[in-house]
Amino acid sequence: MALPIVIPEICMGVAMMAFFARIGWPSGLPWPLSLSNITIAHIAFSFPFVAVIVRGRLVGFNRELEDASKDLGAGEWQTMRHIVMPYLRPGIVAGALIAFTLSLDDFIITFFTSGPDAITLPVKIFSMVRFSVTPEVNAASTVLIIITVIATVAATRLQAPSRQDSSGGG
Amino acid sequence: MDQAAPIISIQNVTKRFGPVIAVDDVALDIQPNEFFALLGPSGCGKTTLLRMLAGFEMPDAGTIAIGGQDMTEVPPNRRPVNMVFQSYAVFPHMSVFDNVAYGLRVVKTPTSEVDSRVREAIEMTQLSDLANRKPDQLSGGQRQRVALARALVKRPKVLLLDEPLSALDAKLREAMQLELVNLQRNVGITFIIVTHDQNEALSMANRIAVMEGGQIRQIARPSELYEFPNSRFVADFIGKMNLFEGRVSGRQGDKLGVEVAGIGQLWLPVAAGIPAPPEAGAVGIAVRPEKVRLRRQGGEANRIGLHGRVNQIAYYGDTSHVFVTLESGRTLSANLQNEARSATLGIAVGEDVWCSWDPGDVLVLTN
Repeated sequence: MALPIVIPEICMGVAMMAFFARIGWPSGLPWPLSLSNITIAHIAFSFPFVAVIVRGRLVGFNRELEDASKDLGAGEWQTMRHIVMPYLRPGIVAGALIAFTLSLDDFIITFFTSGPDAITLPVKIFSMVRFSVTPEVNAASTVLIIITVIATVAATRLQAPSRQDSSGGG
Repeated sequence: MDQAAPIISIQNVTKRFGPVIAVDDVALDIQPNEFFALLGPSGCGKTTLLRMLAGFEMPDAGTIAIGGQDMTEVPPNRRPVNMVFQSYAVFPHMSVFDNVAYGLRVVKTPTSEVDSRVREAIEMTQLSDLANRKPDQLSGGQRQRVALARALVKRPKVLLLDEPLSALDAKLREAMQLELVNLQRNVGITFIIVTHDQNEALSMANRIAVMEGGQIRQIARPSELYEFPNSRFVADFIGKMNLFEGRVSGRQGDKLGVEVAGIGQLWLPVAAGIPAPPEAGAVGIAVRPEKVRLRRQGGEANRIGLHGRVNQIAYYGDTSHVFVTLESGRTLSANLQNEARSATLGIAVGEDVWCSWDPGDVLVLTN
């Protein structure tokens, strides 16, 4: 599960490109679907980061809360929805923000998996830089950095243990 | 008590965790409206048995019937049984009101009924002023009441409590002991508690099952358990005792003859209620410290007497525990009530003293 964290991005990029070519992923699809192969690739590499963050949150969960919920008449799904998910929410949001940051900034994997009809900001900046560094490039980079910083700070804040983290124990 | 069907019937239940037998072929009936205690040292199987009653563990063998119906395989959310956990397990992200209402809302109880029943439960556990607080704003004792209200609002047939007093400080513990007994009487349902603390069990329960190594050693009322234990283990686990080793020397009518090292030949009345005394072989002879009387002279009629020297006195305010070194070298403990008000005790370390007790107070212990 931690494999995508360990494998170099260029290997992942090339592997994904080969994968999509091999199964004959359609190109020339209308707009949202043209991002589908990029989306799949991004999910594949950000999934482990989200899993690690949510799992870290889950470690502090008092399993007796689940038992208590079932003892009071709730089924598995109700317990998940009313007891476990509210507890996990900070972890899930933190994971989502990290995934957003990784995704927004990613260049290598996106470069390999994007076709001519779909493009992301980092890839666009790269192609702009090939000609010359215009002020547009600087502006775009700055916006990218600011969004990333805000997202990361928010994610870190959410991960920090809060006072309301008590497991309800005596 | 009339012979109504037992509210809980445990038949030959066994539970294994790998090679360890946690509960070993246990059979037990619990009557309606009882305050029942499962008492024993850690690892004796009492918590596993409680969890099987709640439905969190399934027995490997045997059946469990609740209210006359077989519930061995029924999951916890469908049993007419509710549990107060050792850590209380109060939901941290919900207010007291929402915690108590949870059990009713998950089974789609209409809102008006939820409101009235929750208010009733909150009042019964004296939480009315705290209904809108969150658990992190409550003390340990208050969180326990939330756990109680949350369970009782479901009107279960049986309430299970796992070590309910272990997390409370001494003063609160005593107050809570009395409160739980009153609560059980007012609510009128069966309470089953699991505890390793004999004082809790003795003071709260109608009947106690003493467990060891996955098996039930004795089930009896508290006073029966204390004064007529059926084994060395039960006699030692509940209360304190002075134990001597002896051999059965014979029988004369209703008296058992025992030869005890350091005391001599004793003739003990065979107490009603204990299992049949042995005909021969080794026995343990025990007397509880509060039954031992200390005097400056010996030779009292109809009492077993021993001479010794006071070695140590532990003063507890209402009682004093006196440790006497006997002529044989071993120590005898006696508990005295401090009946008269005095800054000095009538007895001092180093003094010669005669210890005596009634032969009828002796416990004859075999296994």
